[in-house]
Amino acid sequence: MDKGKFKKLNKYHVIFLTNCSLGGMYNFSISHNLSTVGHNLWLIPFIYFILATILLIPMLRLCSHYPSDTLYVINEKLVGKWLGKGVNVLILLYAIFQVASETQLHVRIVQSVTLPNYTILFTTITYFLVMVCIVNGGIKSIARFSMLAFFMTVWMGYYSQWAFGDAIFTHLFPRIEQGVSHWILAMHQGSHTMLGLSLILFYYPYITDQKKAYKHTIIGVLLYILLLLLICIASVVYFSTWQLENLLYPLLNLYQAVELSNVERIENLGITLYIFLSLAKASIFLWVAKKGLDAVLSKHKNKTRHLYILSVVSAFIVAGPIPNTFQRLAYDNWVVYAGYVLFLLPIFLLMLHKIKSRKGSST
Amino acid sequence: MLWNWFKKSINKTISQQQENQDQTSQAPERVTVESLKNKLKNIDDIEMKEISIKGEKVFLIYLSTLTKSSTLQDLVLNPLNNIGDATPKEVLKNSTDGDINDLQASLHDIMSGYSVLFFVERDALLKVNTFSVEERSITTAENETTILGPQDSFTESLMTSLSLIKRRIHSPNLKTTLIPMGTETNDTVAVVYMENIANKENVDRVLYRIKNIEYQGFVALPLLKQALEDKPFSPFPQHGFTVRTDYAVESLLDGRIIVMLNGSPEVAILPATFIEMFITTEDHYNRWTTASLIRAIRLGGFFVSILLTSTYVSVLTFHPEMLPPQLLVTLSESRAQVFFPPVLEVLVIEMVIEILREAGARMPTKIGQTIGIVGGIVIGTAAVEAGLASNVLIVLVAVTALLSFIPPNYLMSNGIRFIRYGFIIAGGSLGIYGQAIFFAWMMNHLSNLTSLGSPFMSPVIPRQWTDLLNSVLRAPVNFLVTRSGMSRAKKQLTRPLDEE
Repeated sequence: MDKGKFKKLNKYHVIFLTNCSLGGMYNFSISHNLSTVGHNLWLIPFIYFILATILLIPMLRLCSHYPSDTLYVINEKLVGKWLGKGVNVLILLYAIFQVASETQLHVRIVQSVTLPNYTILFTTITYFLVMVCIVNGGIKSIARFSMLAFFMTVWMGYYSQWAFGDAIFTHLFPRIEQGVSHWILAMHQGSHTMLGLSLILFYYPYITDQKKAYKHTIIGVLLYILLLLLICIASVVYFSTWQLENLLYPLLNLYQAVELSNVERIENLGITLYIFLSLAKASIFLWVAKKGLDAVLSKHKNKTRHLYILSVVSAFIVAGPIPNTFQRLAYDNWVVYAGYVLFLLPIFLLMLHKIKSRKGSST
Repeated sequence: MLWNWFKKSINKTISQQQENQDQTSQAPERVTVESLKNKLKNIDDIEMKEISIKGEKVFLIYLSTLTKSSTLQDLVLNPLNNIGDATPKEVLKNSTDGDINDLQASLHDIMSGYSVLFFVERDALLKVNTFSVEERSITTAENETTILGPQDSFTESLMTSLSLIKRRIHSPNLKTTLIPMGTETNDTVAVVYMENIANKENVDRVLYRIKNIEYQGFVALPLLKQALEDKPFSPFPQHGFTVRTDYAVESLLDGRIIVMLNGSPEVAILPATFIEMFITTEDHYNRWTTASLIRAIRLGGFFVSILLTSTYVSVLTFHPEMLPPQLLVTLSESRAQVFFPPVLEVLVIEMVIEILREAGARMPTKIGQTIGIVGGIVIGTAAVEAGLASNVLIVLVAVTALLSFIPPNYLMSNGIRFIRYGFIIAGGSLGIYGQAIFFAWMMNHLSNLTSLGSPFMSPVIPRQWTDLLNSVLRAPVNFLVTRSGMSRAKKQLTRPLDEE
């Protein structure tokens, strides 16, 4: 249903696609990742929001010039066919590693907390089977799943009340003990959560109301930033700076603070439900990767087998015999820097577009 | 991919068969005495009488099982006996001319209960509808009983069922399209809709699908309904069905399309939504408060039904630490004698329930009830004492079984039962994570399901916000001023908004 190249994403789809392309399983470690600025970390979501609003401008400006084309097509049009294909291959690799990164983080947390006696192989296979089902339905299927993921998980914000119950609210007072380098390092370490913003470059052609895409995307970002703010504030008031620096997954510890009369160890439920957000985010990246392989191998024609190929490749990266040092290098460095490049690429392409259009008008 | 390959291979077979048929098919055969006798041989209830009308040799052909002799006498023989100077067509008021060049059409008429007069010398045909058989009378809906509201239900006779709708809607906008169906049965399917309300695209889609079904014959509507569904592999039904006339009429007024099949008391309602599988007409007769409460229980029951026993499995197998100590002690004591792992324990008891249900359904009513009660109590008690299952599980399985029958739609109940096994196996394999991943698959599957091209999960996947007023919760009737978004009706408002 709803497959094919036509405009099919309404405003709700855009809002929740944007929302779910951000964060994902990195929410679990975000407070730790931002901990170089100590208790000031709760201010970083605001900075992220401002940066997102700025970065979206060139992205959507570029998309508005090519309303029916994904970034893969735009690359080939502006950079040239072969160079464009080269860039597309790099984006494809980036998307594959993003899928692997998100999946691995999820299955590792599940393994360490929920299923300690299991290897990650079976969980990875089941995860990818469901992901293939989601992506097979096209971008609208992913958008619907993203809406579902949001509503299945947003209520868990209620659990933060236990953190606030034991809170030291003085932690919230901004301090000036960190320098600019600390702030930049924190933002870099936490940037994984915001890298999905650039995915609008790929699903923009499917948006029905493209004129309001900026507004709807910003709403999606804002919803995520509010969630991020809640996590950060709850972490700041509940943990000491030492804890923030040394706890790998502070959100997990926030779940452990929950005390219900009829259920214990609520983090099992929390991690389990996070599969919705994780699947949604990984699915969007897998869809982008599939579009990339379509662009590279079949001249942008839709081929379902590319989805299966990419799923197998991504699953192999997660559960195959890949050295852990290589995985860490790929997930923590390559993916992040490639994400930055993807943020800046629209600016470069806009300049090329300007030059080309000037040349075209002068001739 | 597999499905595409499967469809391709089927289409290939069909096209080969059609080619063979085309090669063997000839021009329409002309009606002659010999051809009629030849085609109707070995049918012992065929009557082929030679009579004389004004000295002209005429063959009267009819099927004695579909025509009462009194009807034949009243409609054919008596008028012909008193023909006087008039022509046969003038005295037979209900007669129409038959096509002498189309033997197949004449045979179809005869087999459908027509009496055919074949004028040998003039080479002409005259047919009179003398179809007169015993029919079941209009009774209450046994499987969809309500306390409030009308009690009549559709019958196996298409014409009677159609009349039940037309008794309630006296409008020329109520359209009925009759389509022959079944290569062997030559039965009739009726597509009923309100022309001024129903979405034309939906109507065209239904007609197109029905006209393009090649099948030897559907013996009941639930079979035809499956052939009309968008996703045949789904465990969930994608169209509504009912035997209640009030529900059918309500659906028509909402812009839905009703499909009826001669010989089947059920009617299919297209398109339908997931939420509607948990709604009955009685909800509209109740006060909005009661209706909302009951609907919420039904929908909540759906989720409890699919998750309760699988949660028992996953918690006891993988996450006993999630249980409070007191509950854990109770469960441990309950399971002390049980030697099966929880997943096997649950599967065994669930299968026992299935067997009891199936046995009860296939036996005569009184024995079936006894089997249900005695089997439930005896087997349940014995299973606990024998250490096959814990008594807590017996309670959970019983609750689950009851909840699975809450949805008014029987096919949805069956779908729930099937899905539950998936959850139990997922819970037994990967614990709460397995349940979550299976739940994610199910929700994705549901969100991608369509009924006649419209999202099955409407209004959760919103088509229009006003649908929420008549979904899980039901607003007071005064607030229900728009038709459901699922219908994509031509007229959205059910009444003028400025009405006082």
